[in-house]
Amino acid sequence: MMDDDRNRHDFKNQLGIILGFSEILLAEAAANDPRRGDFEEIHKAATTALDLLARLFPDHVDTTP
Amino acid sequence: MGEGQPIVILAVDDEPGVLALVRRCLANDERVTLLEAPSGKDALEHIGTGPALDLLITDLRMPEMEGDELARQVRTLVPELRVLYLTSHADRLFDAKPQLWAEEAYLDKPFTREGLREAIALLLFGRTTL
Repeated sequence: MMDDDRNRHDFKNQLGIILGFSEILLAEAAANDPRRGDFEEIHKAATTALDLLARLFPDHVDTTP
Repeated sequence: MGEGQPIVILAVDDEPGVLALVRRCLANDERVTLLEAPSGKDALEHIGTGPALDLLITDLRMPEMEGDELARQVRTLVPELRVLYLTSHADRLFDAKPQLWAEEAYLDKPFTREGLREAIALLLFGRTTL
């Protein structure tokens, strides 16, 4: 169980890094920046993955601080 | 601390990507000197040898030494130091640490640039902008 918690924590960390950097890229991209759609897709995928993680491993299973 | 003064922050996380994100969130702010450490043990080496700290930002869950233990040890050396915990699950923070001290706060992971900067500003200046 502790390994599961650790893995969940580590996986969430990685998604948080993707989400955090993609938010910064989006915030700094001009409205007409052609890469904007790419950044949005990265951000959307990370958000979806976080939601999926929460559904697969609900909070009551998590003992991660 | 006063407005416009230099700010020295020590960020501690065993995940290099999180440290990189903290660094990016605080980039372009000339007042901020950011020190980084990958573990509590390394963080303690900064205390006393590096510049005086204004803020410790630490992951709560780390191998060897968890964030609240690091904060406890650092506080014995720098009692007035402010501490911002990064946590994936705030409920678990309060299980381990039922009461935050006055100079402490927590920020949920994942965090945004604005969220991190706001949490730092609140801890250091009592306002929402850094």
